[in-house]
Amino acid sequence: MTRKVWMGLALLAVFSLFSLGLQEAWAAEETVKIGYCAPLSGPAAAWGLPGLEGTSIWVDKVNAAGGLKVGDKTYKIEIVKYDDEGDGAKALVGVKKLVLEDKVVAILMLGGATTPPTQPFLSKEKIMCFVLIASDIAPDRPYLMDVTDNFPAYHLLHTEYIADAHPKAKKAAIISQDDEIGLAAIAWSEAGFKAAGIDVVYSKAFGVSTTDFAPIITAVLEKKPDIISMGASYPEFQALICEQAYTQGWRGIITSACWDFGAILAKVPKEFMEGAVSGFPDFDDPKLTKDHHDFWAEWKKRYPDHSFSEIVWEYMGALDVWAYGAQKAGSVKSEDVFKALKAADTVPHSFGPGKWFGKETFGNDNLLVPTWPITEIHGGKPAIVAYKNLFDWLKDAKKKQILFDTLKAWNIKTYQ
Amino acid sequence: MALLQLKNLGKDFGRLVAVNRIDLTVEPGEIRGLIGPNGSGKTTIFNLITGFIPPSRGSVFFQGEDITDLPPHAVARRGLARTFQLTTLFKEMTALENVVMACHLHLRVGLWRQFWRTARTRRREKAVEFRAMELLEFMGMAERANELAGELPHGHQCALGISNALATNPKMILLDEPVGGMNPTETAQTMDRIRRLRDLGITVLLVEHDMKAVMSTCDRITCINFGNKIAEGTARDVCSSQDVIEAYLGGTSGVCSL
Amino acid sequence: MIRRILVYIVDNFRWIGWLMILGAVLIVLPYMVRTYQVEVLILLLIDIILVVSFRLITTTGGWSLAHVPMMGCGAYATALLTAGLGVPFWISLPLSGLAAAVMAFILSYPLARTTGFAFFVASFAAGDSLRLCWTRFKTPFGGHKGLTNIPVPEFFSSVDLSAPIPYYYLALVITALCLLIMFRLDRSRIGHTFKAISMNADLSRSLGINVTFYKMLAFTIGSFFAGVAGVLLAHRLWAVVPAQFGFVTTLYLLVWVVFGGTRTFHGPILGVVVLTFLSELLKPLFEWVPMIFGTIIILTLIFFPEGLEGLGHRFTPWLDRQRFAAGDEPRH
Repeated sequence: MTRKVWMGLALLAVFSLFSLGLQEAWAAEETVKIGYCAPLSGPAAAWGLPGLEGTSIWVDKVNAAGGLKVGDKTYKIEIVKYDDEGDGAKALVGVKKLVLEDKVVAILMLGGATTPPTQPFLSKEKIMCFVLIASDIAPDRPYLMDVTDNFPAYHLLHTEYIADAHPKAKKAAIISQDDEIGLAAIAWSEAGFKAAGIDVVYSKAFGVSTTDFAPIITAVLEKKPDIISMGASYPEFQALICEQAYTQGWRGIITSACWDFGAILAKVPKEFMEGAVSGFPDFDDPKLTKDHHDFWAEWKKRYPDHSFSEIVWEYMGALDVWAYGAQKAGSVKSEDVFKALKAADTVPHSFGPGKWFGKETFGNDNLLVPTWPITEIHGGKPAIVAYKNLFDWLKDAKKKQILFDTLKAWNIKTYQ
Repeated sequence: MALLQLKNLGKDFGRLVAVNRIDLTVEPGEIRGLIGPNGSGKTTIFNLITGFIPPSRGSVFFQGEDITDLPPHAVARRGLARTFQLTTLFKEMTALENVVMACHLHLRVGLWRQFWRTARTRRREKAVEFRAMELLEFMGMAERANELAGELPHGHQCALGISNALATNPKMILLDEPVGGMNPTETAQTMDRIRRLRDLGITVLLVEHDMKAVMSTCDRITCINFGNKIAEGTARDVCSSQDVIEAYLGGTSGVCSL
Repeated sequence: MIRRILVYIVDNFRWIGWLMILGAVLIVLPYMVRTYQVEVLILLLIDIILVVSFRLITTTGGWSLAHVPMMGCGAYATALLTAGLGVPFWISLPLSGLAAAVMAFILSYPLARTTGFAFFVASFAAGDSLRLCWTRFKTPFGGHKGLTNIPVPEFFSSVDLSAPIPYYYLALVITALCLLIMFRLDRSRIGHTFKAISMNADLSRSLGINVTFYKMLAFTIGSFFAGVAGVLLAHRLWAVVPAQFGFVTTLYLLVWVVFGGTRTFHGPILGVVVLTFLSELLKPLFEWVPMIFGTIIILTLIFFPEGLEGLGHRFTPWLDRQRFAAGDEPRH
């Protein structure tokens, strides 16, 4: 009896060693590793987990096609995950493991609280770090870039679109939660409305622990706004704000950085959301390319009951940009890819060719800005109604001045 | 001069008058009994005297000093110790550790020296331990010194409670039901020890339901009912008081079936 | 004197022997693991200071939810002192601990007057208001983005404390020192008085113990060491952000302490060490980690309600039986 058990165990050990060896052998066949250091558990997991869906589809597609051709070599891609729980100290351990042990050549991160502790190390190691939060870009973080999300800059475009599409709307109110993201959204939206000739009658942040929006919405409605911008309010706030505005009888144009339909439509009828303006389409939008549609089909197949959000796309979008840089550099070495990307006049972004931006606002030209789609909600689904370009917007010196004045008024550091 | 003097002392809990207006004077060296039916306010009086709850009116004098508004630890520091109803001990410490802890006031070593355990601290700690052992011997439980307080038999727990109070080196001690739940033998032993406290020059004020024990031990007895003093005097005086008899048994029979 | 020391060593050989072995292991440990795991060890040392100082406060009976913000106090203080004012690390270390202690002393005045659940809630509110200050006042605290460019501690120019292993030794020495002081405190009269208060506050009062004073003392001393932990953290991360000292970190602290137990000095250390190793071990399972972690904790608490330290009690009778079987007398 015991002998059998021992035999079994020994067999198992040999087998697992063998399979490990096989894996090693497969790995030796030119694999390039990319780190994924984001919250996969804990309260911020919603900002990290969905990204794995997009990246796994991307990696499977590339590897199924034989790998990524860089120079005269073809690489298989491997994503190495690390759960930083949104915590700075854990993120530091994570990036050290990814860089020193796994030898990743680039790291995908959420950004925010995990950026300050990890950047000194990543800068020293010259490892590219792709984040989703543009305001993490800074002069002393050369290798940190945001190549997907254009928050908060796209608020300038949303507001301009609203002014174009609704010439009668003259007064706007802006509310968002009182944190770094919320305040940035308020400031950029305010600049956008002002530049578009719309009066900002109310712009204030609410506390992050607010649960009762009745007094806030009452104060907002006293100013009789035609437009309510929710800035970058979190989904749970959006639903409560919409519910209050609806029950207090307000009807008008709403806009926000993103939408969580499920949460909002549980509180208000579909009609209330009709025409709501934002900037992130579903990838089955007829105005998008076949690549988007293929991705959408694959994603729907794999995760039929998940809801689509920019988080699903953004980490993957960064992989697209990285792959472009690697191919252009003919190397997967972090510094080479970085140089190739920065040297390129235009870099392909999911929404079209993008240019580098950010020197004046963030202190470094590390934000990739394409022509950005504007969406309106029709029948509970976002549809692209226009494309707008930030560089066109900034050509108008007067508008630009309004932007920097407003950012200054909101105590947001600029580098003009 | 009176050792303890309550002047017009009272306490209201909301609209309920727990203690109305009590005047009470305890002379040095006396064993005073405080009796009264359940809920008559005896324990509240203890809590008022020792600063555990602030009074609604009146004042407390101890050795001529007004101690009405002092917090409990300051009252203890002035030499007025108390025990609690039920056995209140540091149950996870041994009997000896209990009394050593109770000697807190008499360590007389600063925090800094306590931390470094200087030679002086160690000397004082030794002395305190010695004194604690003496006290346990006095209360007749030296052989139980190293048992956990929570695991001692009930009688010994009560004795340990008194030892703790004694360890603060009091001039006066307030005992709340010192023989509650004891068998007759234990009761007799404990009452004997209380009498010996007087020999040490400690004045005693005790609350007790065991009338036999009270009557046989106390020099004078005060009876209260509904927060009012209804009788005071020797055991015989109190027993014969019509108010007391009525308070206890609705006037049908005597309190003191001695 | 020397004879006394010798006698002491002989009498306590088991104890000192174990400690020496542990010391030796801790000294060679960073060379036995991967570089990033040294980073884990550094954070573990910091967490050990945090849990032991937390236990110090719990010995008076209160579970402070302001402990992690107190660590933040130390971290912010050293960030402002070293990065802002150019104060050397070695001066900033005690000063920042002191800053946390002063903050704790001020807060403890109202806090020490609450007990049980009220203390729980009040300390949470106090800690949260601290965090609010850091996010609200961009000068000097830097708002949500926190403070960066916290310098590497300076030591003889040959030692580079930005490298993991030297920093590990720095953290090891400071942790050992902190534990020594807290152990001393725990075993002193002061520590006994803390425990007396948690066992029975009313009795303590009646015996002349100024309960409020001792609670404030415990809270202040505990927060001092939390502040020191914060200093070590800040100089390792080279940055402080308010999110670092949020409720999730507090939750971790509570889990470590509940898991390890608070009755003994070593209980919480056991808790944080075991759980940290466990979480490193489970790391490759990602999304499943919280569930597995939770299950392990629940099972442990079902079988050892006093936490891991209760394991010893379970183990002793068994050990005695073994000794008995071997013909030895059971040890007591």
